[in-house]
Amino acid sequence: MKTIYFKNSNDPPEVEFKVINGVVAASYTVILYEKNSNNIVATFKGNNLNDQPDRYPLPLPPSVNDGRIISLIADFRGLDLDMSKKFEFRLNVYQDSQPAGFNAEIGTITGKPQTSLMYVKLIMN
Amino acid sequence: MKKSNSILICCILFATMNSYAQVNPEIDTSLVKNLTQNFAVPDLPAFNALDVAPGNLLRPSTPKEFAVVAGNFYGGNTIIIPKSLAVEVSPILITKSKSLTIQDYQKCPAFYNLRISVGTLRDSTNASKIAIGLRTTIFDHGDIKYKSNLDTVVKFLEKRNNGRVEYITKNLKTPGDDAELKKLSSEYDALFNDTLNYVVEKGWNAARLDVALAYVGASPDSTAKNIRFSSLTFWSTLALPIKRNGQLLIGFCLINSGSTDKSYTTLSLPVRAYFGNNGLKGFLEGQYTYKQSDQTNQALVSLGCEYKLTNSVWAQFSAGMNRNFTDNTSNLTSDFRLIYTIPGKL
Repeated sequence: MKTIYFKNSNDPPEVEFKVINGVVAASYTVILYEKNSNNIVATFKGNNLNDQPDRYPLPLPPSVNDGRIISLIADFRGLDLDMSKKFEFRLNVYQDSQPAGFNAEIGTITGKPQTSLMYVKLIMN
Repeated sequence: MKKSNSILICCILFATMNSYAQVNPEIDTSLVKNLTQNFAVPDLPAFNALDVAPGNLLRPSTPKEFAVVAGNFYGGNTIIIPKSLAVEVSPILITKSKSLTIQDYQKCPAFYNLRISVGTLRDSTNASKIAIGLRTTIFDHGDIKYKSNLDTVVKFLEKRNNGRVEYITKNLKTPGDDAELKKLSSEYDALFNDTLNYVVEKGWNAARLDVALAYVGASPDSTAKNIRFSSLTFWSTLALPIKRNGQLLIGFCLINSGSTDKSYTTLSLPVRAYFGNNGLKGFLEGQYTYKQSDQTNQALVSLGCEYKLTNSVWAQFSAGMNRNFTDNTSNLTSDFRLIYTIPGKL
């Protein structure tokens, strides 16, 4: 699990699903877990084929997110197996519109439905 | 003409190199340019209007941003530099390539699929023809960018994702190595994989409808000032799937040809059936033609095949017989052409 540090500023941290490489259709869910618990604070759902932003603000004040875990579950499928054979997805965290860090998964597009799973732990500086 | 062909070939090579040399740090799949499919390159109106092939069918397929077709490779008994060459571009797809989203594209695909082609032909007497073609695709069920196709893919992935999230949150398990979850996913995938594969990869034989128009000018030499009207051709072709491995094309072609004082109409009703897969397929073609100029009724029957040599080059060969029922004569026909397109995105 990747640890990402953020500040206690006015703006909340934001989390984003991003396809860096790979021509794929992806449907994803970002889950925000309570600190040291399996209780879910928030879920964010989307896909990469529409023009809606895939970036979501976390709850305010920023300090409530200290110690929380974010998981990304993305189900995807390659759309151009001739030209696009590798994928790279990122779970980005931003604060004050600046990157705070990310976790990434890189792999091979198989031509079958696939799943990407990533975790990030948020720690306040 | 040889010089212009050489310049064109250089441009194609440069465009290919450019497309491969691109470094694309991020892929935004909501943009049309990133959703390409490597189905057969459609026939180019400006090429077919030059009357270099025996048939009058204009084959529809998913639009390409750029395509080149070359034909007439025979010079007596030897293979020569092609005498006919045509280029087709999708001006709107190319100019809006960096910003056109799938949502915009879906509002009016026929507009974005508008393509312009230019073709040239020189014969043994050095007479030249130039053709300008315009075509669009009215509907294309094999185009992954179509709303119904993308909705199928997205709905499947959403259901898969929802099922996975529900299982994880209910069972409070770490999902990575959970055998039960993997089993559930594989059972679910097995139900939908066939449909999904067909939508994403095997839509080469999906239903499509293309319409096209081409103007041909002829010149007794290679100078532009001597170009005169030669013909105006209209095509409409409907493609229908025959199960998963076949396709039926039903065409209509009307040609108005002649000079300013006298013009003639030619009507063709071609039908072609493909069998095979996206990379290799054979076809059987039949065509009825009525030519007003010499009041003849003709029928063409031919067999052919199409092969994907590489991701960017397709070859097509056909041979058949044309029967003229008015004067009871027959002649053999053949056609070989190479079709080039830039693979992937520009």
